[in-house]
Amino acid sequence: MRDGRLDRWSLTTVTLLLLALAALVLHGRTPDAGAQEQEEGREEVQREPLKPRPEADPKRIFDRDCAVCHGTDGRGGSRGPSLKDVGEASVHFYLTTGYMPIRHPDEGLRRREPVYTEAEIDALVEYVGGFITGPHVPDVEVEETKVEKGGEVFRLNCAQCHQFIGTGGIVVGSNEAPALHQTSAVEVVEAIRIGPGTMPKFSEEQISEEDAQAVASFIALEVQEPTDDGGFSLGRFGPFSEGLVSWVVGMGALLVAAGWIGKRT
Amino acid sequence: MIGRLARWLERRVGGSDFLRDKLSKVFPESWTFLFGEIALYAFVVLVLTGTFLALFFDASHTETTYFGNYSPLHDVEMSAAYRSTLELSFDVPAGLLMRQAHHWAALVFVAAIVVHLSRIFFTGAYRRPRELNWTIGVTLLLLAILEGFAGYSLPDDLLSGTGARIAYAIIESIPFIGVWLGSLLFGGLFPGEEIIGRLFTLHVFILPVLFFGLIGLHLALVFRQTHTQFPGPDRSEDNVVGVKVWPTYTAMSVGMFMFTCALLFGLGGLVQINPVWYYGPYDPFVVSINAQPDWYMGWLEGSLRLFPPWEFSGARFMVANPFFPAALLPMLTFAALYAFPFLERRLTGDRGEHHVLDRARDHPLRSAVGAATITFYAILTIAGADDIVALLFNVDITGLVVFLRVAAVVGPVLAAYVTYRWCRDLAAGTAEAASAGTHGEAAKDEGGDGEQGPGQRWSPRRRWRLAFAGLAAALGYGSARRDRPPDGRS
Amino acid sequence: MSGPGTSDREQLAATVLATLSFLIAIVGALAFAVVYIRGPEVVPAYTQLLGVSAMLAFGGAGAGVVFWAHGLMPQGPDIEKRKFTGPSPEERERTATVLKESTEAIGRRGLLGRLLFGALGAIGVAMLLPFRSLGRAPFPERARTGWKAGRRLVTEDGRPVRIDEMAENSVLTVFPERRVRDADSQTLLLRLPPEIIRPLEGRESWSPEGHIAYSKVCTHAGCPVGLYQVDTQRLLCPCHHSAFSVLRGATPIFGPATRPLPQLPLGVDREGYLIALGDYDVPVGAGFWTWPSAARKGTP
Repeated sequence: MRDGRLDRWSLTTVTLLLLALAALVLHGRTPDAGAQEQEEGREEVQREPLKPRPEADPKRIFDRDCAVCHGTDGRGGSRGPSLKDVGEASVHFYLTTGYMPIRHPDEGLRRREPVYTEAEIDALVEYVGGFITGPHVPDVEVEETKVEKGGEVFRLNCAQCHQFIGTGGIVVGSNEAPALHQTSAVEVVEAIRIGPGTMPKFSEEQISEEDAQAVASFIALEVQEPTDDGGFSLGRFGPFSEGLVSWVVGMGALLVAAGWIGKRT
Repeated sequence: MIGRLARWLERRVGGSDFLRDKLSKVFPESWTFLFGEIALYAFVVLVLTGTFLALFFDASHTETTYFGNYSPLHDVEMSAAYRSTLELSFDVPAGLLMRQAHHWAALVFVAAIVVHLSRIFFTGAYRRPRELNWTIGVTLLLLAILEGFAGYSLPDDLLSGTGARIAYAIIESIPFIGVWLGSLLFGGLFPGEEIIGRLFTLHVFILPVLFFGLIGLHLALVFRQTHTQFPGPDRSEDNVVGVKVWPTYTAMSVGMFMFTCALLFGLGGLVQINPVWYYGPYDPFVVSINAQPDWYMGWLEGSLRLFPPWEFSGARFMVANPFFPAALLPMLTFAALYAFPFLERRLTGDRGEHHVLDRARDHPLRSAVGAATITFYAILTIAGADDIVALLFNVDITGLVVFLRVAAVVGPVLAAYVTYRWCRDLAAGTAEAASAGTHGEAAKDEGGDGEQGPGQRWSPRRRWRLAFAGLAAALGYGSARRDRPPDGRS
Repeated sequence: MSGPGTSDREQLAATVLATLSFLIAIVGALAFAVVYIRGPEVVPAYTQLLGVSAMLAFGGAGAGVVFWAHGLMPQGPDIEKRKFTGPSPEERERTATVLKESTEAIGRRGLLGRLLFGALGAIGVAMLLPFRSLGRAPFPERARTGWKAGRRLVTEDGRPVRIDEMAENSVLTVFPERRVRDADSQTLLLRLPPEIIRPLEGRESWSPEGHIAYSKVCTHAGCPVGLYQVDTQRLLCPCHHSAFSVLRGATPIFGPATRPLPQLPLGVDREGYLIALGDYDVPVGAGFWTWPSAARKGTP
């Protein structure tokens, strides 16, 4: 029996470690459900007071929610950048992703439920479009046949930050290349053209209109509807999560089996 | 039927005395002695599934395109190696199951070796006469890591190509011969045109042959030298207490084999691993964030990430940065592993033969060294996926790297200290308990279900409590347990 | 030989459990066969069902054997004397004598013995030499890339890049024309607002209209330095997180990299396409033993 205790302790330690690791994984955001929950939770806390009354006049919305930082004519100021040549695509992108409006200039860009209705956003885009220049809101068609090309362009130009299947990745500081699981096809093409946040932008010579649409199709049809033929996807984070499972589930189960077969002495 | 077969063989080959002798050999039944068997049976699964895969895999760099069931990669330029891996995944019936079971088996194989090695280490099972088998075991670990890396590199997907790229840079950093060696192995400057074919030869022929030889030798030595056993009633240096190889131990071992297969095929069917179709084919100018190696290479990736920007550069020669964390560190690691039994012998002067195992607590220094080692490599492994950790916890990667650099130095020292104190307290606790006369409770139920022992016999709950009190004391929260009578009378 | 050491009742239980387990194993194996034969076109979640049925088959067999072993087989404890405690002194003596006698029979031939070892050593070295056929040291090409003065910058599909096509704060992977997709020549072409570039000494003219080009091969371990962060103007290697300052000659500012990414001198040809004005002045990628001399002379 004296020898038995050591083994139980090692078993205890191993079990505790494995549980901690499992908790780590479960706690972390899995891109499908976890992220959404987290986003929603955050949105409730931060967004509630900002939810404005429904408003028909886009000028009123702009003057009330945007002009504080960007100026009533969109020229910008000490608190926010000029909108003069960002284009309607930027306005649309920042509003549909919920990146804007923010309450404080230091608040990071984070995907949220949009503050305005679709109609309000369209009206705002049109209104702001009246005094700015730049890329327009693109028409995007998601098509099965474009996925192959889209994947190639994505891996060459996007995977280095957004990861090979769009689960996102950390960059330096608080800037994060976001996961692409909720990004709409229009937002994809807009982001390519305007380079939101810390992302570089791509001109039509760099990524042609056709290729940009292809990337949007790849994201809509493969990143957002992945081919998980192998079973549970483990979040598609790569070998890290697989290693964790091989220890927690694999070695865990086999040690339990060994404990049943052998004597715990 | 078995009897008839045995008779048939006996008339032709002879050797019934040998067989009788071996079949009545006695093996101790501790569950911790099954860890090595897990590794062995994972290896068997690797050989079986690997043979299936090799029938379909095309180890070549030849440029080709794919038009199988997975449409998102149609018409994309790729190597034949990558195409055949896609076909194995989507177009060969049961191919994906075999691929995934093979990969899970590889991960579990190395994990089981590590657990097995830890058991051997903490119980001092490597002492004379088993130093030789320890060195064989360490060699098997080394080969397993190499074998795993070779296999990981074969499909020529984005992650495996990135791994090969880093391996090339590590080889290049070796003084004197690095650049020549890299170009020689890869067949020219990276990416070369040879590496997949050569890794395939290594993966399915050279290393497996070594595995078969060394595993055979490893087991033959266990047979010849007899198995160690934990101390217990009637157990001594001169005997082995357990069950006979035939039939009971064989049945237990077959059970372990079946469970290993069940787990690996279960994981292979239910949990997706290495989905190369997401990674895409490798191109030297394409890269993805969150690229990591399989877990057993994580410590090397981690040491590459954590090692400070130092390199030694003279007027004509330089020792480049990757050499230290990725060439020197593994060399030192395995040198230390090989040397440990001999080093301990020299330091302790204990040259005697040992067949009865130590308890970890009775050797606080050894246990402390073990805990520090495990902590160090665990931190490096975490660092090998620091971008994922940063993503999951939403923290700044630069801050995390600095934290891990500190942890890699402080963590092992802390672990050693805590383990040392813990062992000391536990050993003291055992001694006190023994002197308090608790061992009177110990019932000797021979032939029972294993709860025998001449020493103290505590309820499981008490053991837990004592363990945690010991840990708390080691961490400096007062040695509560020492102030109380160890048997809990208050 | 000790018996199972369990009561009749326990033996009965073990028999029932083992029987059930083996039946489960048979059902699992049959299910595997059925799923396989029906094929992935017919069976949804084909791989998963194969895996589960295989797991049932193996798991059932394992459980059956273990129930059998625990409940119905001899439980011990059996005790065996350890025979292995090294050779006895007499045995050692005997072996030594035999060895000595047979060695003496050869007689003292010290020179021959040494020559034999010499011959074997020489053969070993000679037989190792053919491995050199695998290749020579890759110089001078390791110290050079495909860039030459006047070569146009082209994208991975071979299209030359015009001076006016890139947006500010954007990035493109380019290659020398005629060496498209060459691993060592891969280069990051960035376009920045010209006024923010702070060129290193002697490189003031290397960045026409805010275009600036660095080797894409990380100086740490050779990964493609793919991440371009606009707001901080950093390049980041996704493999080991080395960070380089775009504005200051790609000097390393974080992570394990020690040397800056080599910068490609850029110019514009008469037709308005970007061209290289020469090769990199140091070898691209990770460091190696003769790097300093290669950096000075172009070859070691």
